[in-house]
Amino acid sequence: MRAALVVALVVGLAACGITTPPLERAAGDATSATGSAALALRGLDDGDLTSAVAETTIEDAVTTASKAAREVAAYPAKNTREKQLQEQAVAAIADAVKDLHRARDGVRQPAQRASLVDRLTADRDRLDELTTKAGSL
Amino acid sequence: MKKYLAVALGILTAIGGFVDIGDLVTNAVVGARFGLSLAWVVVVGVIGIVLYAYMAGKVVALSGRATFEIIRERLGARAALMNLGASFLMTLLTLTAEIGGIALTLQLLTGIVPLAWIVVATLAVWLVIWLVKFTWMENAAGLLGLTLIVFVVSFFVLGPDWGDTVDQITQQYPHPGEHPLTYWFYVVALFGAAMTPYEVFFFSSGAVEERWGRQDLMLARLNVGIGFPLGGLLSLGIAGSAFLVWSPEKVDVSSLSQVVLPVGEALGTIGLALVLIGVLAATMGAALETALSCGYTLAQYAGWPWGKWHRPAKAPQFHVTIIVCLLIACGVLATGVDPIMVTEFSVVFSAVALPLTYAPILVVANDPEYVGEETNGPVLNALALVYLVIIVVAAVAAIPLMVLTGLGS
Repeated sequence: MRAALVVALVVGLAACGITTPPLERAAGDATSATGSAALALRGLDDGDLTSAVAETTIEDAVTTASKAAREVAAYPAKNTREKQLQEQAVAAIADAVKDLHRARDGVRQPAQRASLVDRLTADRDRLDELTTKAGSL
Repeated sequence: MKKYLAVALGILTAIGGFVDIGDLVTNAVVGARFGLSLAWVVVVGVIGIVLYAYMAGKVVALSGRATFEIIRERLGARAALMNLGASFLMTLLTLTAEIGGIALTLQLLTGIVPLAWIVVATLAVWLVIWLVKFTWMENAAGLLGLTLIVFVVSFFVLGPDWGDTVDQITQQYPHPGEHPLTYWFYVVALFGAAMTPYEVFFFSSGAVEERWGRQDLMLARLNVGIGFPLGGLLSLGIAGSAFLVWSPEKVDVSSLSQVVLPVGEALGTIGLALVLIGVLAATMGAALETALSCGYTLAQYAGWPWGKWHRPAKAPQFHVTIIVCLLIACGVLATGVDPIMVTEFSVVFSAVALPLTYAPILVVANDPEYVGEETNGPVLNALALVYLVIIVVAAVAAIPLMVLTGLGS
């Protein structure tokens, strides 16, 4: 009886939860991952230690952004506006994931870093804009 | 002179040993999202842990016995079993998080995936417990953990806007894009991280290991009264640095690399090296403390011989408990569960277990049979009771807030 009450309480609380809507959350996660990778790459010098930290950060960012891409793609859009935003988000996250893969490969290639940082920063700004739009749906 | 050195060493290790993976992650997450708005929670949490750790230390110094032994004797086996259940499970969860923290730090140092480091970390913790003297173990981890001071240095180097910093500390609402319940979820999580139950059990049992007596009461006061608040400053440094680096980038902290990168941004490779040494020492130190605490609590409840001063053959159940707990922690992490997620759960569930951990300490610290004439004075009791109310409120609110906010998401 007590266990049933606890389960009912947890389910009830979850049902009236205040968690962020899925589209906004996924876009926000991708924004955060891309921003994090941009900063890790920007602050990089040529030491092995900083390279290892940057590689780990970018690897985490790839995982987070890829998960966000799957979540956005699987989101059941309820109307045309949501559908449009979903398509834009799918495209933006796909671009970000591509750039994150390039960034991972570019950690130990100093000549490419500046342009990769610019690309990731642009990805982040684009995703941030979409996150704001998703929040206002 | 030797006495003063011992006091200084005690304080330094208390500072360096204050921070664990829960503090590192929670403070960075909170800092990136709320700046220093929740600095007051760190202050409240530090005062709470100072009060209760002091009471636990006093009980040991005056009775020569660890808190958990007395709790069972004073409250009876049944009530003490509840206390044991909550504290033991929480400590095991925290041990899992700490070993995950060691593995993540080794990944940052080497670039090799953390799964490969889990067995190494578990084995290292066991070997240190098995081979290294208690005092050496505690002092080495605490002193190396002092390198986490680079978080505070980074905060100043990053150049905060002082007007904005004061605004963050003094004005709690509103936080754009954040629901008030999310704010309160992190209040509870931060409080749980500051008052993790294992800290008092380790402090109390460690005092028995070091053979504290009445003459060490002053040492207890200085260790917790100076060491812990200065340790709290490290927490504020972590939150402040995370805010200055991640907030403008719109980044939510979700990995250990994001916890340490602000130091790299401020101080370059040397800063990054120092912070990684500090994180490794902090997680290793806390893993040792939590593994030992698992053994301490169970052995003290069951009446088994315990402590590192015994040869392992003289305290077999104590050492077997530690080994089993390490294997469980290693097994959980080997499933591929995210150690940061384990950490987030551990600080929330710490908050849930707090009343069962701290209420008995207050009872024992007021029992003349154990502390003689040194029972708590009215001021200490009043403060401790206020904290007990805060602890109960945090414990009751923790799970609903976690569910309602989706773990603060």
